[in-house]
Amino acid sequence: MAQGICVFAENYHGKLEPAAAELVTAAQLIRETTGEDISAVVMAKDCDAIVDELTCLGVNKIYVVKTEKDILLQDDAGSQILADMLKVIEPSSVLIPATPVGRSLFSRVAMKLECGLTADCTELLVGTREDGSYYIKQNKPSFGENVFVTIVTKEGCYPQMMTVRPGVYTMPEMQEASAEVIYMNDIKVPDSQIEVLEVLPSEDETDSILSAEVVVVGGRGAVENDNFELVKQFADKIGAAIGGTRPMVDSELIPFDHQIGQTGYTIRPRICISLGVSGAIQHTEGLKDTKLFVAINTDEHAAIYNVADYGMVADLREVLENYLAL
Amino acid sequence: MFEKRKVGKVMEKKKIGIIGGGISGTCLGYHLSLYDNAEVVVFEKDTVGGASTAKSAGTVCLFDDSLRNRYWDVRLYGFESYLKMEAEEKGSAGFDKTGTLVVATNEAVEATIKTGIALTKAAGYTGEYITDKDRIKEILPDISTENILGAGYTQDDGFFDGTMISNTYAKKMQKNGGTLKTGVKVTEIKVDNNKVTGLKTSEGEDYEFDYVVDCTGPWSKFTGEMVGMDVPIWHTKAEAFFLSPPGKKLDYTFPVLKYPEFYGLRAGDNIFICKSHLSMDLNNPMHAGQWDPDKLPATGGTDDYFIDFLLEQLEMKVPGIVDSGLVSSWLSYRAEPKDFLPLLGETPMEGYMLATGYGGNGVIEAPAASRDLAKLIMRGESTPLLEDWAFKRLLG
Amino acid sequence: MNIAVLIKQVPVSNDVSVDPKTHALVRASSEGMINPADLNAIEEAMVLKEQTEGKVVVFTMGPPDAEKALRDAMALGCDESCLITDRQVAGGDTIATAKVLAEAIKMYGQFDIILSGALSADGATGQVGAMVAERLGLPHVSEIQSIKYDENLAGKIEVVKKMHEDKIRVGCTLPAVVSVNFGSNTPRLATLRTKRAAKSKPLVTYTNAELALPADQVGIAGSPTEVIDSFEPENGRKAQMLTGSGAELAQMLKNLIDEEKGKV
Repeated sequence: MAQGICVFAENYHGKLEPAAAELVTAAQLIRETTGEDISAVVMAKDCDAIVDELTCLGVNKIYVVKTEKDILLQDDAGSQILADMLKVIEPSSVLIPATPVGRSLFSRVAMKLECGLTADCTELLVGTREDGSYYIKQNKPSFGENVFVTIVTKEGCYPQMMTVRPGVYTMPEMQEASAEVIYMNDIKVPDSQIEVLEVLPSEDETDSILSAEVVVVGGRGAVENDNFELVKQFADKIGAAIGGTRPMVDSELIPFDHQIGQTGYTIRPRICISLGVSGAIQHTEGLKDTKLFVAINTDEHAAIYNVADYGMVADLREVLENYLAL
Repeated sequence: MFEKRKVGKVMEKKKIGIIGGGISGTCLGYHLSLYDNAEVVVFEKDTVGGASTAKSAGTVCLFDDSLRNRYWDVRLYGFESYLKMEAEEKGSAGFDKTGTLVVATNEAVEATIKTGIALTKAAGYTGEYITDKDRIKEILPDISTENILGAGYTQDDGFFDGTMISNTYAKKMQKNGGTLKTGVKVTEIKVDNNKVTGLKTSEGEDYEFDYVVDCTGPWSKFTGEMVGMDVPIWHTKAEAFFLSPPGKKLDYTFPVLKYPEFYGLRAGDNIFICKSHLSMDLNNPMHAGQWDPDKLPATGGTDDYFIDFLLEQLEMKVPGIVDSGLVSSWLSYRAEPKDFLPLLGETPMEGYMLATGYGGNGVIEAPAASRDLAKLIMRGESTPLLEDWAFKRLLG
Repeated sequence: MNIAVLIKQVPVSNDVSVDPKTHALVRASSEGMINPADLNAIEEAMVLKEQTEGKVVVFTMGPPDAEKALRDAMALGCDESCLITDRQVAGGDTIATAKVLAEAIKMYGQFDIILSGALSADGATGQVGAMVAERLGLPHVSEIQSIKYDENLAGKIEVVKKMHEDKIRVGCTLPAVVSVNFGSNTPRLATLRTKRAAKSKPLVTYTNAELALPADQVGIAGSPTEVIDSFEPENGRKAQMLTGSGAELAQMLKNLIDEEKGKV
């Protein structure tokens, strides 16, 4: 009988990822209802620091497979190890950080165990079936963030596996070290077809507005009163590419190919900060799928607030000057 | 000291509710707000100038085939209204002064262009009819001058931004005391004894009005149904592509380019190409029908036939851009009565007015039409334009 | 080199609401397009095709109307396409979908590399590529920035991945499955001519009659997970308005940006 909540202790360079620690909090909330034990699975070359940190987070058991090299990018081998571990642990649920590593490894695990995997949950709730057994209601956004859906793993399918969006749960409070640590030395580390050749520091590439992850979009308000110099400093500070609506292009502050809207191009940055943009639809149609969209405008009726996540009715000069002083 | 004395009686307030915050509704709202005794409320279900107005190319050219020369004053009043708006506050009308090249492919078109140029010059603007093909190629290097008679050209016009203009009109109206309600849908128009008395909204508000004006363009059929009126609006498809020219950057200013079949204008470094208004055949189900504008996607939606049409047209007429990359496309519905003229003014129902059916010419026609309609509503005085565009012409 | 690209037709607009009574999803429009990240995958495929004089086959599973996405992909230079469409396989979760795609790939032919976009704009699970790899028993590298293929090192590719502040060069034996990040390259554009040419490129349609997967393995029946409810976010769609002094607003802005940047 599947029992227990299991957390995937994703790690990088020998340290536990904060996103994994947050999942212990999510597991504790589930435990309040189900009373299940919480375990963590660790798969790494340098396990000691990770295990030490986990023991203080309030998990009951820590299952460890020590590998000769870091294996998180070798998802062919890594997923086999994880599947073997879960077969022994037999948890009722597995919580995984919704990260590239998490979804890549556990997609394969899900296929091996034929158990399903729900992606990018932002809320986990416990439901109770008629027979008194528990299940997890996995809430996740869909179609951007326009709607949310509740997904459940069908009855009898175990473990219930889900990736959880980083930042949704807070880190658990540190406790006295208490967890039982189990080294699973019988589990074999298979060969991988994937090899890490080199790790280099990444450079920020914000040349192309089309591929930029962070974008600052200036409208007419960014052209007035020499505000553009401030906008530029702000963009530099947050590592953003600068786009703009036609007033900025017409004032020759930015090149034509950084114009947002009315050109047919759509940009899809993760973060967009719009400064003094009124929000005509041609501009917002040129901008889609943002995860964070903050609009600053002096006009409290600006249409941009219909598409932004957060709005600030303020003089952009005042906000930016303060930001640069932070 | 003189005592201030009231001269005549205080004019009675007139309450007007406008449905639709596109170019039609905001422009009418503004023109009404110029009268002291008008109380105007504009209801927009989404955002101002955000639907078919946003898909307008905004070309207000001094001479082209969009509007017959008979309505020259309408064209000029629109053009100059926006020039003034732009002069008051740069960007508020989104003017891009690229000039316009209207190509004459036959003698009838040539005659129309020449008349337009004469009218343009009479109003104090520049304009010339060019037959020197090298000069035409200087203005638009990518054009083919084969099979054309000549082209009309002016440097003085270009295109505007319908969304910006709508927002500017809305702001000016608010400054004059008018009210704008965005994100509010009109759910019911109240009628008593074949007379409009007010309306109700999705926010559960109940308004009393002396006049309700339908400025909903492609939605007019549905708006009319609220008062049990069949507003004879058909939709024609305005299909458009954004092209990225081969080599990416044009080294010349792409003018507004007009052919009877399609028109083009610059959009940043790209070119916007759209099938022209007058090439539409209301009897061809590929061109025209009655659809639900709420189902229109913001981008995409063009039919395959448009690819063949445009490929053939560009190969023949502007071969230099035929191998452009297709950046994106969109489809818009133009609201057209069967005779391609707007529906303006009174209806068989007292107090229910129309300012709709601009058929893709809303940006050009709204200023003059709104000016006249405001006068009719506030003073009861009609104008020749209102007579021409009256609903009753279609009632047989 | 034979290259397969897995694409998905996604709605042009994510403007979807929930019917308050039935809780069914109401789409503002049914217009579809190629998922944006898939265009980056197609671009990588085109570069590999040009380098190796290979062939590119594009696959999608969806309603018959998904043919449009395949034609669009062929207008970008893909040579052939395969549409898997069958009511029986519709509505599946990522596991059930991956089984169908993997089976279709196997049936279609031999591929050296299978590419997909990293995440879809609608569901954004980022799982199907890895699941296809598992089903086909191939290595998989996810969410990559670029691919390098050296003919002298036949049987291998080198890709670049970003992780935290690092850029990681990863080698992988072929055949392999690779998912490509949105924005990692500049996708080429179709032209009027290539659009027209795409109309006559080969398109094969598979149903489950050809794939012959057991009915309990595909579609809703073959999905270990199910959607039981849908709802709209509590704060609605309008922006949450933040108020405060310039300094307070600046701090709030910084917190929002830092929080979003902290997520991987």
